[in-house]
Amino acid sequence: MNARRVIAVAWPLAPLVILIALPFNGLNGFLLDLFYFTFTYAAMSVGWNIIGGYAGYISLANLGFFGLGSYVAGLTLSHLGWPILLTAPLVGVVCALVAAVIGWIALRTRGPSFVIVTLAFTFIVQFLALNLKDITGGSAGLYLPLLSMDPLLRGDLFYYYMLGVLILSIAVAIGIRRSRFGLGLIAIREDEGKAEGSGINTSVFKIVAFMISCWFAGVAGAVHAQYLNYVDPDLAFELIIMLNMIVMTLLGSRGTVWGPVLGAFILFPLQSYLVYWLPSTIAGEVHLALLGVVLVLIARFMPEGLLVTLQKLIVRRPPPRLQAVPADAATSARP
Amino acid sequence: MLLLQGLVLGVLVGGMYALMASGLTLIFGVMRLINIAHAAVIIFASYLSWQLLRVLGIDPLISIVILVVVFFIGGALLQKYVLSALIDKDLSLALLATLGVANVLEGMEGALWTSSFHAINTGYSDQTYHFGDVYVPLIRIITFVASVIILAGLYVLLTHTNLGRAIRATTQNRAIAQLVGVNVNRITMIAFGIGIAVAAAAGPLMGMYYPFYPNSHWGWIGKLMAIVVLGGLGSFRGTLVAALILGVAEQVTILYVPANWAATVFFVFLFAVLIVRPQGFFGHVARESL
Amino acid sequence: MRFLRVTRAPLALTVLALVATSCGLGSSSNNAVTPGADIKVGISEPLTGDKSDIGTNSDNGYKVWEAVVNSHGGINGRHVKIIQYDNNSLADTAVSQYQKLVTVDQVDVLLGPVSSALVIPTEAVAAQYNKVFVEGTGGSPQVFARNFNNVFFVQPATVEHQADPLVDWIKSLPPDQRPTVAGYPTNDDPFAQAVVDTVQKAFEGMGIKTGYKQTYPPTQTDFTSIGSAMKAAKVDILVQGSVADQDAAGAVKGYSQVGFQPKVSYFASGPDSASTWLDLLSSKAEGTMTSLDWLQESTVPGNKEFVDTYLKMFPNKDNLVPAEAAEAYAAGEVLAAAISATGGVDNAKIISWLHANKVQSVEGKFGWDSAGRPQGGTFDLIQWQSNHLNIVWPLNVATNGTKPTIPKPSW
Repeated sequence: MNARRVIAVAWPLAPLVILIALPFNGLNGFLLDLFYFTFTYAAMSVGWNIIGGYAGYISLANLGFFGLGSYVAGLTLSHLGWPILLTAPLVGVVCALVAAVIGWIALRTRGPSFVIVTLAFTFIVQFLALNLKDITGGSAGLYLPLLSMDPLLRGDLFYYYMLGVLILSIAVAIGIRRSRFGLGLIAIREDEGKAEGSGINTSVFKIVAFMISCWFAGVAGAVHAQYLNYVDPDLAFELIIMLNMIVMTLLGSRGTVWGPVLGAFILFPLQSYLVYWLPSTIAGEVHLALLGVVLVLIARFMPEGLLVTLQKLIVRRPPPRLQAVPADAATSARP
Repeated sequence: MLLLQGLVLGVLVGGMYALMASGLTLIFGVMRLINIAHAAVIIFASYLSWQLLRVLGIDPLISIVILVVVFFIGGALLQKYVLSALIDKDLSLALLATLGVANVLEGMEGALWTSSFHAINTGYSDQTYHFGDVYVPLIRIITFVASVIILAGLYVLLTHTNLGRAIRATTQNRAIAQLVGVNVNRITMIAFGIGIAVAAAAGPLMGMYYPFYPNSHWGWIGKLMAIVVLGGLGSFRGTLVAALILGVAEQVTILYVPANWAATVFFVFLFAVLIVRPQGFFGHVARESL
Repeated sequence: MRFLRVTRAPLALTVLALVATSCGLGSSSNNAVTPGADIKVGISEPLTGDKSDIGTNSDNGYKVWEAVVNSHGGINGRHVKIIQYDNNSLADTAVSQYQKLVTVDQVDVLLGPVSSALVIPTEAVAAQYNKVFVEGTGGSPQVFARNFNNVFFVQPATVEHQADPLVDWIKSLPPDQRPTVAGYPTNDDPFAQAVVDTVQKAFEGMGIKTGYKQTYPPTQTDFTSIGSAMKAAKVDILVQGSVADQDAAGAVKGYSQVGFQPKVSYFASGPDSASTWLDLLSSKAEGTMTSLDWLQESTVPGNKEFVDTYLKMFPNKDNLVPAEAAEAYAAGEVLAAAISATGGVDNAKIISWLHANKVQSVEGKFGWDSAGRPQGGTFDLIQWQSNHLNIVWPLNVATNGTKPTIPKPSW
């Protein structure tokens, strides 16, 4: 029992060790890139899941914050010379503060205004990036100095940086899941009226969850600006980024800690390789439609996602996701 | 004179905006669902109308009739087999499903018609009338008149038929509607079908007015959301008034500020409404839960 | 107990996903380069997504180049083999594909994708690996802003100089014939703005007033209001920063609807789309102008073989060759010349050779400055006349003995 308990808590160390060791085994630049993107998507999906999965509010603003993060980081680098890899966490804080304002507008009330406002927010940030030319460079974008180092070393740097952000995001997600705050968010998802009745300040809970969610999008956007050495109003607000975040979370299992990670680790490599495996016209044009089909199919036939569905198959019991109780509390209650 | 020109163009375009947004508001009213795919459906109808004109020589105004029927059936089936199951479970899943549908349509259009702009050009596309210094393109009069006719038909359907009364009852209160004997599930399916059919009717008109390309629906859905929020989500009359206001505001703004800033008119209104009066100016359903 | 069972699934799946991604992928690396082996050329093009049209044209141009080079026995006896991926018009994908081309496929040299938006992020990848990066379509000023020495843009001049022949021509007109008020509606695009800004500066220096200068968004489709405003400002020369035949043709329709009739109408892009411009506008096309780097009828060395091969490989009913194909083909020619002259695929040698020499391609004969801007070539002014596209300026290269029509007929 004790050994099992250790495994139950410590199992993530195994993939972690593998991931830390991988670059030492001569990953080429392309694979470093592939992992960097996978970590980025995983961290953003974990972030999205905090508002979209735990609290059950669909946010389409995370893309806007990804772009905002790219621009804020790019501008501080080009005007003040502050290196992005150092400022990225602060850029995330800026995004979180903006998220507080947006959240205040959209989350004061229950209901559909949140999804509308978050989509509008993404459009507006993109719009401003495009039209505040004197600041952002407009459609020409921002050109950032290259990190002058060996390309492989550079790949390693981005690899470990985003791996770190991913680990942090998982730690935060676990922490929230086990806290009163997390309980409150799940209560809001299950029945917001009741949650409010039981004394939870739902507005504050939702806004804080939204801020945390957007911190990760902002950090990912900031790092990505340095990765591309370039920020552009089209690239920074590519709608497929948002679609990916959502589909990855849903595929993995919304509202669980590991679901979004699982979804990202399956979907991103798969998408990258489809381009090489399939004839390009099919892979390219059908790519977007296919993601859409996957989204509809998951929503309709596997809304609980892979993780919870698999758990059900293995355990044949209702999974903890649907209960407004953290997983370890449930475990200790019924040994 | 310039202002008068802006006003005229604004009212004309506002009529079409009203048609584009009315399906969105109808669907929201009955299902409390923001149909993110709404503009994508409109663009898809534009493409089909373009194809019908190109291959079979069917005038876009006539293709409206065909598209309305086809899209009504398609919408009703989508509601019955995909969305209705989700709405009982979790409305946010239905919302995400419409996001998925939007991307399916966009990707499909890219595969079938490439990514370049398309425009529906007919023999009367380029004619213009002018009254003094005010120029009014014929196509704008046609789209305006067609929009008004379709909206009037929809209005009569909603207010003077049993089906319309049932839809309105479902919009106001699902539970009570069920109690008084309305088959709520069936009505929801029909209402969703009508909403999609109205979007389909807007497609050919939009396509004669503006060129379109697969991802142009993202720009439109932002505008349409601003209209329905200003109109009070779910309010039919509110949506009509809001569409006219925003159409005029946009066309007049474009005369005095750079064209690329005119697009902000919609977002300024959207945020102003949400900050000052989250329930919109003409309705009172926005506060209800998602 | 339950917690344990619950968490095994993700563990297993994560490891599985990891193993799946890290195996099977690194296998194709370390191909030894043997003398006489094919020269591997890496390209990522937007064959799908929102740049698919120009991407396909450009890709076809590269394919024609590959076929032509190999039909002549390759370069220095080595055949050319293109390794090409589709980046779906996404910059992230394009970057990752150039990474793959360099590190996994270990190509010898790189050619660029179509459009500045894709060249800008990908040229940095090439720069990191010190790979030569020759491209024919990404010419916005930002492409050269970071002073990469490995980038070479294969058009006769940078976009800032695209409209130089228009300015020269207007300058040559007697003062009473010159237009007096100019309008500059411009797509929000770095390329289009660069064209328009140079013209505006030159015109203002000549005393042509600026009656209208506004930027419209790339999604702008309704030009009636812009037309009304220019008409009210009494604009008689239109210099539109359009980016494609779509926004240019949309503008012409809008202007004619509100009765805006300038004496001269120049578009940064649009009238050069020989296949669609007439289709879109029919008689309204008459008199519209733009500049060209290449014309299908051009008698530049090598052009006939290119055009003939292109039409054989990609036949179309109007027998038209798109400009992007010529630009890509020219990029290939430039690369081939450098490989041939340096005797191999040493990228450092190729780069310094290109900085020191002028190269003849179907785009003309010109060299490059240290950041890859072309030096020493010029564009031509073209105008639609009686449903035919003529070079009208400079007069010494004018086709069919034509000269510019002013004022142009009403649209």
